[in-house]
Amino acid sequence: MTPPLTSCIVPVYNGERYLREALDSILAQTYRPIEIIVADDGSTDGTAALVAAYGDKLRYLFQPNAGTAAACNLGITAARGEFIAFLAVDDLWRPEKLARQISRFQLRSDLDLCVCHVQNFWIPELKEEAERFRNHRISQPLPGYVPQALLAKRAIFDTVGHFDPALRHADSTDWFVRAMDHGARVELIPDVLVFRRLHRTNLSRQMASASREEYLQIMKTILNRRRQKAASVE
Amino acid sequence: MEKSLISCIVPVFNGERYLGEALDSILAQTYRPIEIIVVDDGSTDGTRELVARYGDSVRYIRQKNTGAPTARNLGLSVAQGDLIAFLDSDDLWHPEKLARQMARFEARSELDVCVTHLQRFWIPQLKMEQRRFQDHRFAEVLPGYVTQTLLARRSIFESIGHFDTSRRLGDPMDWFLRAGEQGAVIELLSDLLVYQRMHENNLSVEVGTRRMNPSMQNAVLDVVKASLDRRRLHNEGSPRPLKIPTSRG
Repeated sequence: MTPPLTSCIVPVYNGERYLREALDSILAQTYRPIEIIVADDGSTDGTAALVAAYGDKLRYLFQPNAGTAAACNLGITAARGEFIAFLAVDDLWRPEKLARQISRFQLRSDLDLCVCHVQNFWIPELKEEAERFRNHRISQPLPGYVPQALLAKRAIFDTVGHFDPALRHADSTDWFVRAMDHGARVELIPDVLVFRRLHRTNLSRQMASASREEYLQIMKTILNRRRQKAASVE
Repeated sequence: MEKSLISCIVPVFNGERYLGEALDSILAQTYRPIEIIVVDDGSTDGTRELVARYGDSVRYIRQKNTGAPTARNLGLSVAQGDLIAFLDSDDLWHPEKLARQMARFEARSELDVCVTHLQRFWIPQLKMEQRRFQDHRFAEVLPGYVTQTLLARRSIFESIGHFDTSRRLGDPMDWFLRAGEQGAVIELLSDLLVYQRMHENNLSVEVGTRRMNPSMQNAVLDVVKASLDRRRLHNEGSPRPLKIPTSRG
């Protein structure tokens, strides 16, 4: 049986600094066949030129700046794979990331999503911060309910829907919760297969309070939805 | 072979709000060499200061407020490139816009004019309006006979002429019709390479309905009538058909 095509979607906004490392970590995957889709969210730096240097190895899509969720959705729409994975431009995959996850799908035909553990790492310039967090929970491997750690059957996006482009921070949490509410079958594997880079301009750092507000808002929406569902069952 | 210089002309009137994004989308082009010329049509806002921040990468010239066609023509008269492109101050180019069009000129030496497809996008404040237009033709990918999509050999402006400065609106449509009438070789790329921003102050369409406003309607009728009259004149009464590509793919 031929292994299924996996589409690797990389949403990017002005990401020239770390984009190459992210793309190389996809190209270094032991799993094949893959297609790599860079979904450019209106970058004005050298992103397009950097991607062009990869030639036919990547597909390049562009949209006027509309947020990560919209860029991921653009990628999903164009994806040809039976499976879909995402990588944030400043993060990295272990070379076995896709292979390990695909093998779970081969063992469990009922599986819809597979996520893995994520390890944070700090850029050298933030050595002091890394030191301070050495014994903190965020320095330990964490269960990765984030797109970087996800491998999903493409079909699940038809059931659960795409990411909500109205959300700027909580779009992936919102998606994962919706997936659960739809009864998607998820496996969390114990392996650390994703490294998440902490730098000065992580989006969630820049707008911590806006981000907290959005999370509260989606939690409320989720609870309301569940209450309504429970009520309609009664 | 040495690559041709493309002059990118940006006419602007009080465009400080979005001009920076437009210029950034030119600077992000994968194609080089380019020159960027901002033609300020007598702005009274911070347009001049904004352009100054770009330093040597953008040339700035200014005229009394006399409208977009005059501004485009002024840009043409100072442009040094072998090819000419235009971008309105509220719109955006795909980073590969010039590169993909240039490839067509390199493949077809007879080509005079290359246009691309475009798509509208809405500012976040008009999200409701955007949702209303979701499945509407207005929001689809459309063939773009507008200056923002145009890449043209400089020499074609000598045979077809410049933009008609007696028109405040509709001058690009008039130019494209004249190009078609005079047998310019035009290619319409199927690629979507230009994004046209819908905001509260678009010049030719009304906010909410996105219908042409009355002055634009009149301008269009005028332009089309003038073209039909010209085409009748040389064809004994019935207008000569135009050869302008209009479909995708």
